[in-house]
Amino acid sequence: MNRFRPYLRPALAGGLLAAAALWLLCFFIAGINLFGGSFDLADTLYRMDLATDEAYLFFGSRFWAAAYQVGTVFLLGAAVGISTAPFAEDGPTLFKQSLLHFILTGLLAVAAGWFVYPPYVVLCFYITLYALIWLGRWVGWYMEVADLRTLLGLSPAPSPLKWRETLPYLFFALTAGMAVPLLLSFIDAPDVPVLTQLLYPYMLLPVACFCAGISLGRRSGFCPLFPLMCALCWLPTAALWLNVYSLFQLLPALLPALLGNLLGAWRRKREG
Amino acid sequence: MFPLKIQFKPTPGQQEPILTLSAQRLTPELEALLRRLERECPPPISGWQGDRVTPLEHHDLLRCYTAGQKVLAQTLDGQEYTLRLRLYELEELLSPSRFARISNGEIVNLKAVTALDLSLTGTIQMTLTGGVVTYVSRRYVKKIKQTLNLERRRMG
Repeated sequence: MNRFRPYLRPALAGGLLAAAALWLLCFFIAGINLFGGSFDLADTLYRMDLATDEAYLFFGSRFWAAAYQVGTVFLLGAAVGISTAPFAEDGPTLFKQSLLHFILTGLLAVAAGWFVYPPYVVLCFYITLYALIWLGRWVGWYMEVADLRTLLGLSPAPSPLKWRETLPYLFFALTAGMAVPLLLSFIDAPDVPVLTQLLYPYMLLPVACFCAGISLGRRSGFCPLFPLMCALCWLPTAALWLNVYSLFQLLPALLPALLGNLLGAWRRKREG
Repeated sequence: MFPLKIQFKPTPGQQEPILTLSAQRLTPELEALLRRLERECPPPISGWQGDRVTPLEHHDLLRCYTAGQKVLAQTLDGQEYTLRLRLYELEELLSPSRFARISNGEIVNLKAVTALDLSLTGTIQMTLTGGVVTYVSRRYVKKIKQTLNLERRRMG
């Protein structure tokens, strides 16, 4: 119990703040008068709803719908309040606790937004926000480690997320993702475009990305931006040739690049 | 600062130099001075390998760490010794300009650090002479930085 005591106060503060924010938001929405006229406090409070109509329909009671909404928002606020706790740990514990906190907070976010937005919208928003916070923390740690390296008289650290090490491979990504497909489109048969619709996206491009990934991995270790760069350079071509609405079409560039890079990084580590 | 007369007496045949402080009584200032001098010229630490005891010079230590109930010391040549001291006692004994605590269970020789890397998961990996890999706790980063900054200022 003593282990959790330091987290009780931030959890309670986070929960209360979130519940207060929900109340203010609902008050603000109820106070909006689309047809003009002066603000009436009593009328706003009377019209104010803490839950959506969908929640009322589901629970069949205004009280239980509001209780559900306030309860889930309070728990979500509490989870956000203790979000710095996993960062205090180190090593594998940090990763495990962060993952657990990420899953729990995600479930609470979906529960809190269940009657407001579809779960995938809430999850997309939540994952983006979490990734941004994690990235912010990571950059902070990176600066700290860079300072320590300077003070210890060590050589400078690799660039954040190894963007500088990845940059020379931009030429490859542009060539494989845009230039080569453009050239192939001139020589491909117009009636049955096997080369541009089948061979290149699902055979040649994956092999090229995989090999480039191995090369970069062996040179500079794991570079998380490389698979993203390959996928982004392939995106315009995929949109033009293939189904623009399907993110699945990015996988022939993204996955082999990621796997190749991981394999190269592993070989680099093994060879010392 | 208090007045202090410094004398050097050459003693033929003396193997190890001895520094003696003569005063009417031990004042807090003199005690602090003695402690400072002790840190500058620390006595070796006793390291055990079974029944054999070896005096370990501080500058030969690579790291001191806890393993279960034991406190172990690893030297620059890769030898491991058991110490009969607690880690906090070692922390007081070892020179803060050379050694720093990097986690709850480890003190390292800062002069033996060859690499420091941050992983994507946020782990700070420290490599020491001889390829020994260890991990720095984030809680101690600030303290290590302070120590190194102080040392830098001291060196001018």
